[in-house]
Amino acid sequence: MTGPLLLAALPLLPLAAAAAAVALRGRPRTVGPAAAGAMAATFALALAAAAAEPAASWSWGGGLELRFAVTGMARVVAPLVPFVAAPILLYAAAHGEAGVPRLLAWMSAFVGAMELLVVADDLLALLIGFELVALCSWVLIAHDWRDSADGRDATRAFLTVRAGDLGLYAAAGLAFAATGSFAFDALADAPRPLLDGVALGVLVAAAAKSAQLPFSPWLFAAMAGPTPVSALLHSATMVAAGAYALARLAPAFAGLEWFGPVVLGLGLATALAGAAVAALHPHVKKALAASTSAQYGLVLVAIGAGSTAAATAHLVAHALFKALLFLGAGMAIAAVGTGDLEGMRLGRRLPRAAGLFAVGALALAAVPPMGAAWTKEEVVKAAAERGSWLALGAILAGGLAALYAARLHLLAYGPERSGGLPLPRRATSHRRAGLSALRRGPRAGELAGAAVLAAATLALSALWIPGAGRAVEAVTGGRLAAGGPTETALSLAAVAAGLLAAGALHTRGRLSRLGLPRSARRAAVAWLGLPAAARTVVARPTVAFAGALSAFDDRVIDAGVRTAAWIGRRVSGLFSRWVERAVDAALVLGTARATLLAALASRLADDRGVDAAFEGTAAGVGRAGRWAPRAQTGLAHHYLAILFAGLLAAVLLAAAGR
Amino acid sequence: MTLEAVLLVSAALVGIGVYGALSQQTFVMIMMGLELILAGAILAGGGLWAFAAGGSPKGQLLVVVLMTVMAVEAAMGFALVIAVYRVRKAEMTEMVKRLKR
Repeated sequence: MTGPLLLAALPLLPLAAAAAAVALRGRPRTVGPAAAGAMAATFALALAAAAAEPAASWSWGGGLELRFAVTGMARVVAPLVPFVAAPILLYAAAHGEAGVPRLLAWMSAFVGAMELLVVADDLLALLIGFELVALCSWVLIAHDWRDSADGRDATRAFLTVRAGDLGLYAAAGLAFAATGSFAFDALADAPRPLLDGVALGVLVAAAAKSAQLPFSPWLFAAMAGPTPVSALLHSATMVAAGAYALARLAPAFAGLEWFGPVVLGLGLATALAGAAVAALHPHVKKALAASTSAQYGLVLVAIGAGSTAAATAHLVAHALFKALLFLGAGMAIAAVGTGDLEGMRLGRRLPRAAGLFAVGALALAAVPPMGAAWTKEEVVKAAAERGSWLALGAILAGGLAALYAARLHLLAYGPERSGGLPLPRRATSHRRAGLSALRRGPRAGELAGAAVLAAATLALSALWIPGAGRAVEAVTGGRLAAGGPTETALSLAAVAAGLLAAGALHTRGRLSRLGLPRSARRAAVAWLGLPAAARTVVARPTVAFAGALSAFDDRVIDAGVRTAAWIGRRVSGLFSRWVERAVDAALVLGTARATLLAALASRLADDRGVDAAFEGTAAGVGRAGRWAPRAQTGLAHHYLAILFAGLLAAVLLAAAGR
Repeated sequence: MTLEAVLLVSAALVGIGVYGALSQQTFVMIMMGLELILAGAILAGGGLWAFAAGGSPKGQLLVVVLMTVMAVEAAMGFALVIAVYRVRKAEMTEMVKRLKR
C-alpha cells in the first residue's frame, strides 16, 4: 500500500465503519462485531503506517495545503486509538440498551476524526481534527438526549473545549502570519514574539482539551454520557489529544524558556488538585474523571520537563488502564443502577468484573510490575531533572493516585461489610434492605471488552524489561531522563503509603470521605469552586455584555430605524392630507360646485330671461289687444279726426317721397 | 292775384274746414266743415288751372267733378243726418254710440 493511501485509510476506514453501522442498524447483533472488526483492521493499518512512516499532503484549495505524516509520537498513538476503541465498541454493543447502532456509528466516526488529528502534520489539519473530535464528543455525550437532560451537559463540555480551541485558532493564525505556512516543521523559523503567541495558543487549547486547570470541570459534565463514551473519549483518546498536540509541538517550542516551566507547573497543579477531588468524590465516574485530569497533569509534567518519550509512554499506559476502569465502573453502575460509591461493594457478586477492575486499579496506583508504574517512574525522573521540589510534587501526586485507586476499588468492588461494623449514615435504601438482588449482571461482550484491555495493561509490564527504555525512545523519537534510585524509592514508598492509608481507612469504614469533614467532600464535588468561578468570571460578564449589546441595538440602532420609519409615516400623512385638500377639495369639489352653480344659473336664466321674454311678449300682445279697441269709441267725430290725421300723414309721406 | 295767394286762400279754407269738422259737435256743423274743405280743394284746383296749367281742359274737368262731388256729398250727408235724427232723435255726435262694438 502506498504511503498516501495508507495515510488516508487511517481516518477514512473508521468513517466507513460508521456508515456501515448506520446501514446495518436493522440487524443489531451484527453491528458490534462489524464495528470492532473495522477497528481491528484500522489497528493493523496503523501498525503498517507506523512501520512505513508515510507522509502526504493534500491541497484543500485556495492555497491551503493540509499535511499528514506518521512520525515520532504519531507512530505510537495512531495504533493506540483503534486498539483501545475495538474492545470498547464490543462493550458498547453488549452494554447499550437502545440506540446502539447510532452510538457505534458515532464512536467509529470519532475514531476516524481522532486518527485525522493524530496523523496531522500541520496546525490547520490539527485544528480540523480538534474541532471534529469536539463535535463527536458533543454528539456522543448527548446520546440519550431523549431520556435525560444530557444536552445541557454536552453543551457545557462542548463550549469549554471549543473556547480552549480558540487558542489553537489563534496559534494557527499566528503561525501562518509568522512563517507563511501551517506546518509543524516551519515553526522553528518563526520570530520570537509570534512564536510565543503560537505556544500560548497551543497550550490553552491543549489544557482545555485535556481537562487541565482551569478547564477541568467540563470533564464532570462529560460524564453524563454513556459509559463507553466516557471510556473511549474522555479517558483514553479525546483528552489525550491535548497532551498529544503539546508533546508533538514541544520540540518546536524548545527555544522558549517559559514554556517548559509553565507546562510543568500547570501539569503538577492539575495532578495534585485532580487527585484531591478524585479521592473525595462519591460518584465513581466523576472520581475517575478527576483522576483522568490528574494523570494528564502528570503527562504535562513530563512534557514540561522535556521528556516527550515518558509523556507518550504514560499516555499509552493511562489510555489502557483508564478505559478498563471505566468499563468496570460501567458494569458496576449497570448492576446497582447508580454511580454512587456508597451502594456498591460488588466484589462478591461480580467476581470477574472485580478482578478486571483490580488490574486497572493496580495500574492506576502505579504498583510495580504494572507498565503504568514504569511510565509514572519515568515521569518522576523527568521532573527530578528539573528540580527536587517538582519531583516531590510528582511523588505526592503518585501517592494520592494510589490512595484513590485503592479507594475506588475497595468501595466499588471491595468485599461487603461484615456484620460487626455499623452502616454508614448515607446508606442507600437497598443496603438497608440487606443488599437486594442486582439489576443486571455483566454481559459477555462487556467482560470480553474489559478483558482485552486488562490483558493489554498487563502486557505493558514488559516495559520493566531492561532495554525497553531505549525502544521507547527509538519509537517515539523522544528522550527519557536518567534518574537515580532515590526518586524511585521515594515514589514506591509514597505508593505503599497511599495503599496502606486506604486500607486503614477502609477497615475503619471511613474510606468514602477519607475521614475528612463534609465540607471537604462538598468542595471536591464542586471541583474546588472552579465552575462557580468560571460562571462569575466568564459566563455572567459575557451574558451581561451580550445583553448590553442587545439593549444598545434595540435602543440606539433601532432608534435610527424607528425614526426613519416615523419620518416616513409623517411625510406620507402630510402628503395624503395635502392631496386631500388640494386635489379632492379643489378639483373634485370645485368641479361639483361649479357644475351646480352652472345648473342654477341656467335655471335662473331660463326662468327670468327666456320665460320672461315669452311671457312679456304675450302680456304685451294682450295689453295691446286690450288697448287697441279703445280707438273704437263709436263716436263719429273721433273717427273723423282719425281720418283726417291719417290723410295728413299720407300727404306728408307723399311730399317727403318727392 | 298770384298763384300763391290763391293757394293760400284755398289752404285757409281747408284748414278752417278741418277745424270745423273736428271741433263741432252737431252733425250739421260737421257737414259745413266738410263743405269748406271741398271748397278749398275746388279753389285750389281752379287756381292751378288758371295759372299753371295754361288752359288745358283737365283742370276744368277736375273743378267740375269736385263741385259735383261736393253737392252729392252734402246731399247724402244731410240725408243720413236726418235719418239718424228720425231714429234716434240725436243731433250731437256724442249721442250716437252704436258704432262702438
